Amino acid sequence: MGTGIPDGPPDVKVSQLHDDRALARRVAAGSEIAFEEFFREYFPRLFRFTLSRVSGDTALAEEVVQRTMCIVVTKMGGYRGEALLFTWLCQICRNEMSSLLRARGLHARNDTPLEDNPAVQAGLESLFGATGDPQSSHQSAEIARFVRVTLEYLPGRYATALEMKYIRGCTVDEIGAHFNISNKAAESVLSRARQAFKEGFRSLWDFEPDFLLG
Amino acid sequence: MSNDDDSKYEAGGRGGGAPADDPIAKLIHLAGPRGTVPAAIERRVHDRVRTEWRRSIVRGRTLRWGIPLALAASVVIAVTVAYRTPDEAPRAVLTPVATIVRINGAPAAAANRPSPGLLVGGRLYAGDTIATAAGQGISLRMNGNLSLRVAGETTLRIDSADAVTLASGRVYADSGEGMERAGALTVTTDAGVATDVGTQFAVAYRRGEMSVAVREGQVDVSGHNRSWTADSGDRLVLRPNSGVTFERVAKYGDYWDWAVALAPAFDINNRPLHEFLEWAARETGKQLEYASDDVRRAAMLTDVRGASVADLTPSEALQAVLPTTHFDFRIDERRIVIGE
Repeated sequence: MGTGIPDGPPDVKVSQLHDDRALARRVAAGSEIAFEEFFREYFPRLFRFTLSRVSGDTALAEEVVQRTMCIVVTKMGGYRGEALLFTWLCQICRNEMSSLLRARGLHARNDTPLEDNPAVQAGLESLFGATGDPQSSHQSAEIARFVRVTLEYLPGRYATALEMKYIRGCTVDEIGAHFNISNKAAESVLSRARQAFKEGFRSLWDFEPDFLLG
Repeated sequence: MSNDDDSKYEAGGRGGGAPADDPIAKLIHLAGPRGTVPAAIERRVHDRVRTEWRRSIVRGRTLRWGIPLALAASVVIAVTVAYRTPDEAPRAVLTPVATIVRINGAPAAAANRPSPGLLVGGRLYAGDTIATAAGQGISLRMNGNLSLRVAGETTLRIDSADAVTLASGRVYADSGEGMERAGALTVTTDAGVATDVGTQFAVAYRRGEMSVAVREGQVDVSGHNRSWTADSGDRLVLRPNSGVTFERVAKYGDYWDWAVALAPAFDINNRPLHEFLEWAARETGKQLEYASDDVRRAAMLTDVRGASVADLTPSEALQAVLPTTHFDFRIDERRIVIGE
């Protein structure tokens, strides 16, 4: 199930693949709870992934995502866990997007998404530049996009934890309450989320700015 | 960065904004919140994907049981194909997905097709819409042998042989039992989706409220971005903006009368009395009881002959047939009791 997209952070990937295989097996076996878990985890990520590739056309994104997920849920029994479930979804999503656009006589976006272009790493490196700190608005916008893509490839709870902490300013207590876990467990989730973000960034872009090396 | 380094960002204090010395915090703050997905889109996609998933699960189970039968049947099919003449070659024509087997009250009309309306024996195709008036009812045999009954004041679109969309009104489905069981049926409304798992069930939808009553078997229901399983005797009600409630409903009685009145005809001639009684019991939701095993055996060996009961409801047919046999019988609200 190779996709051309780097397949997630190495450390996260091992446990994530295990979780993905288990989830796929349960969905294929007919577990209602597993289906709801699968949908909650992957629908928003896949929708955002698609929306950014169809110029914000929500109706088209809805159709593409629906077709993709309908295919995936009927083939769950065949998922072997060779790539992350999200990577597999993205690959099928790209195919569905292409065939739908073709059928409607439309063309895919000319500007291939950055993360789909292998030459992107060099550009990313230059964006961070010698100062290691993005300054211009153009740089900021580009980096923001890279960060959003990286977050999308993280397990949903990690991205949510990072977003709660660093954008919404939530406390660890509040994060714990959101996930219905103890403060200690919330701290652990946050710590692992930070680690996964760093590894994800490196894995996706094959590049780690100096300042992320900490 | 080590975990020790991370710990300074995980204190219990409110972490609004991005600490100047934390690059990860700065990056995530720079990216801003991820976009939210419109709830209506999420709900629609959820229900459709779930429906497809349930179908694949049911198909998978059917396939596992069906393979030995299919292997046996393939012998017959092979013979048929071998002797088919060129005139019988497949044609690219619309295939009917349902047949009308009973109409009560004035004939209903397929809204998107020209009159003269619908008659018993008429075929329906994917995309046809049925609209019934008060006092009318129509009974369909879907391809795959499922019985679908449409109450009065109902608007229903036939999407395929195993899927319908209920715009408003009531439908009842019976997918049979045992070896005669048909495939699953999916009923979609604006409020949710019901998929049977081998059952008799009714779906009603009006003004945003959807109810699913299960007489026998199980039905999976999804709506409001969640899903439930309703079992035999459950009546699940999805109300707009107020979640779901479960109530109990008896297998017999007024609730099902309209659907019983639309039961497909049973051809009684030269059929064992026991088969007729089982059909009537299933249709009316009553328990069939024999006074003894000897009486049961006798009912199995007794063939029914005489006039057709095709125009009668199951309750009327019981009252017409049983007095012509030598068996004592008693019918009450819950039971059909056959004696010596």
